[in-house]
Amino acid sequence: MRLPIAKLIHTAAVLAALAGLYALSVYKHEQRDAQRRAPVSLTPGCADKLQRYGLVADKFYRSPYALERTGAARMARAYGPEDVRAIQRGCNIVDDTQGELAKTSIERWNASRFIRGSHASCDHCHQSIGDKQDTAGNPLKGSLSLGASWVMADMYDRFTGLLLPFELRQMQCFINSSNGYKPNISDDLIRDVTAYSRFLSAALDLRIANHYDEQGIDEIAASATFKQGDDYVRGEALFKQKCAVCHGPQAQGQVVDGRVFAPALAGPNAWNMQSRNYFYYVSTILPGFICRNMPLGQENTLTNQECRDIAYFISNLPRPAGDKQGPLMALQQQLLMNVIPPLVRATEHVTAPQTPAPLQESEQ
Amino acid sequence: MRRGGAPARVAVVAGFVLFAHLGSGVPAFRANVRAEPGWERFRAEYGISHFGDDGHFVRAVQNGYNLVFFTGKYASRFTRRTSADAVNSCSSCHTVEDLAYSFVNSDRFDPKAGQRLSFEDQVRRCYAASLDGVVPTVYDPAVRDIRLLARAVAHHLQLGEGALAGKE
Repeated sequence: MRLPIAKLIHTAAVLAALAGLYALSVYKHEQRDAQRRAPVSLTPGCADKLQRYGLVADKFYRSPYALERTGAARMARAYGPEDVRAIQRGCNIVDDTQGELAKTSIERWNASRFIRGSHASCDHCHQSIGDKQDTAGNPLKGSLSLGASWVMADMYDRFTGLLLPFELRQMQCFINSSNGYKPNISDDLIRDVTAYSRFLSAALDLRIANHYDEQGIDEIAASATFKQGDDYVRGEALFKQKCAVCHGPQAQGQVVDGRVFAPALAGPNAWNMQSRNYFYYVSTILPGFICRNMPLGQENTLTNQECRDIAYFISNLPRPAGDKQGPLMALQQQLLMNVIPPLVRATEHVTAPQTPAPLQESEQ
Repeated sequence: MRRGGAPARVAVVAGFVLFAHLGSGVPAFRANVRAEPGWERFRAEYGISHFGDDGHFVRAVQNGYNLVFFTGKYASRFTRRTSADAVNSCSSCHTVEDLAYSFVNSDRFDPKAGQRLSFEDQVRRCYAASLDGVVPTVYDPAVRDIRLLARAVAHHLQLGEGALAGKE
């Protein structure tokens, strides 16, 4: 009887491939487990913030921030060493999502694999590592605080029609604002950011499901302007005057010494058309963000109409299609992203925008 | 006989679909959750009707209430317990305030499990162990609505992250 050599080789190859996959998964599992137990090297911003908020593995947690501001702080459950490391890692992820300050990408749970571009980072929108305050330590209105967002999670979300858990909201950020992919709900990446956000809520002494002003964005509706209409030309001129020095002439962002100096607002590294930052999807969020956070060092100096004009201009620049726009729109946007920038560069000298026309009347 | 088989099968399926949508009287989407005994008292006690103007949230909390107090009826897929068992619902072991405290103290390291456990993980473990059943996915309303119930009660008690019973 002849041995079925071909069949045996085929079976052996399949078994070897399966064994290889199993060995790889065991290796990855152990690598993650070792990373969970490894001491965390904090970014400078996180070291400062977590020390200020008194994060240590102790018997109880009392918020130094609440103690300083109110003279009393409630006693909360202690954080164990594992919890402290999770919070530290979460802070690092928010501060340095792309892992520019990390030795290895596993330190950030390889977060960059969920982001298509090379610019997006959580703290571009959730500034000051998700906890923006004024010089007196007051949380700023509409500053996208992660702590306030965690206590208000699970509420009905008008954009998705879901009771949106905090973890799913993070996934949306990865898919749309980072124009990327959805991590698993149980991924360490998601869980560590949740741990950090929960810790922020404890440090700031926030209570479950109370609405705080720092949650979300201080949106600017058209009704908050003098209703002159959002204008592309005014927006372009203002952008060149106020924003282009950091974000580049075509809002493609700037990278200095291998690190993102100012993120892209258009082009392949920017948020996509399904993001809430996209003016045509939600027309109030990007203007609100611009007014409250930009230009850096001169926050709150732009008028509501100027913010809406700049947002309108930025959103007209080519950017990736979102996950709901379909392949044709995706193709069109890819084409535009490749054609428009060189075209604008070539014709810039003949289409230089005029100085923006001053607004006729003061805004409401 | 066989030649007429396919159209007959299609007709049966189409007839069933039409009956299900038009003639059965069973709504395709139930906007309201059935009010079980004790719901109105619970709702008044924990101020659920004043929890914003969000009907979706209140319905989910109501479903959470049903799951906690009538687990066998509303999560029968995930438990083998029956009314003959002494422990046959979440409320056999936990009060709603226990759940609220558990919620604000979740996402912590559990030495027994050797890992950090979320509230959802704990609920799923309850289904598997205490309720001798099957583990729902983390997205299942049988898990989510219990979390929403815990969140609503935590709001009423004005708990914060890590709140300890008796130390607020």
